[in-house]
Amino acid sequence: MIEFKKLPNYWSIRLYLSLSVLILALTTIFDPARLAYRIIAASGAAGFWCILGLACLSLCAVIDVVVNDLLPDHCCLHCTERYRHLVYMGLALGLMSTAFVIAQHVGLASLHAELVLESSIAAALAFIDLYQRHRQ
Amino acid sequence: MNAYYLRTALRLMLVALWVPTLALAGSITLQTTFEGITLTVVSIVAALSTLSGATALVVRIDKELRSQPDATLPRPWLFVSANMLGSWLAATVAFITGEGQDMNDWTELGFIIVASFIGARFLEMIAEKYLAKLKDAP
Repeated sequence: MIEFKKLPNYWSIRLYLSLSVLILALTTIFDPARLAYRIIAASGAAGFWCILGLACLSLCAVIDVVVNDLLPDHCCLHCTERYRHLVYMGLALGLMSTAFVIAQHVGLASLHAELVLESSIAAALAFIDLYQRHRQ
Repeated sequence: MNAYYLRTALRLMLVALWVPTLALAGSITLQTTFEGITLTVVSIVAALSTLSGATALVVRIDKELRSQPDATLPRPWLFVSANMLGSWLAATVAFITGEGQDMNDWTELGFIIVASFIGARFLEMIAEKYLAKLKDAP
């Protein structure tokens, strides 16, 4: 019989954040109607590579939540668990970097509210996860 | 003067040799450099440098907790203040230099983040090495 692990009480926030950043990154790359797409396109090819890196990082975070928190105990990815705090700090830095580039081109935009909020949550999760893991 | 304090003062002077480098970076004409820089950009750069310093802090805390899982962090105020101060100072210099040199957005971004991280680690290392010894000195 399959037994599920006891779920940490913040896995839902991590899953939501990871999926949110993944969707943000993918729509920035593939949706020309988005403000972020136009600004990233204007900033040069490096912008798309950076956003692609952000998408890969958020995908790692999604896989980490699914494998380490939702699937049974015998399924686990130690590498994502070991460096989870760095993944979330990376997400925070990636989101704030996008906010910086947008600010350089158009100044204050409504998108900044979303980016700053998610970046703050990612940074907070990194610290919370670090202490939680060492306590277990 | 106690030889220990003299040695400490000499080491501090060696560290201060990088101050002329800062003066060189600051010799860029600040008035034209700051044209077009909005409060939004400055706020985001401050947030970026804080995140970069926080990354250095997270790496250090993880290392400490791995080596001694049950230990409490010694002098947490020193950790945090050294990381953040180093990060903010380095980010300020990096941002002014980046704007003065009209760097590409992503290059400037990478420069600020890397400089903040290195600044945080450097000042933390200096604080750990020198302030701890001065505190424990007779």
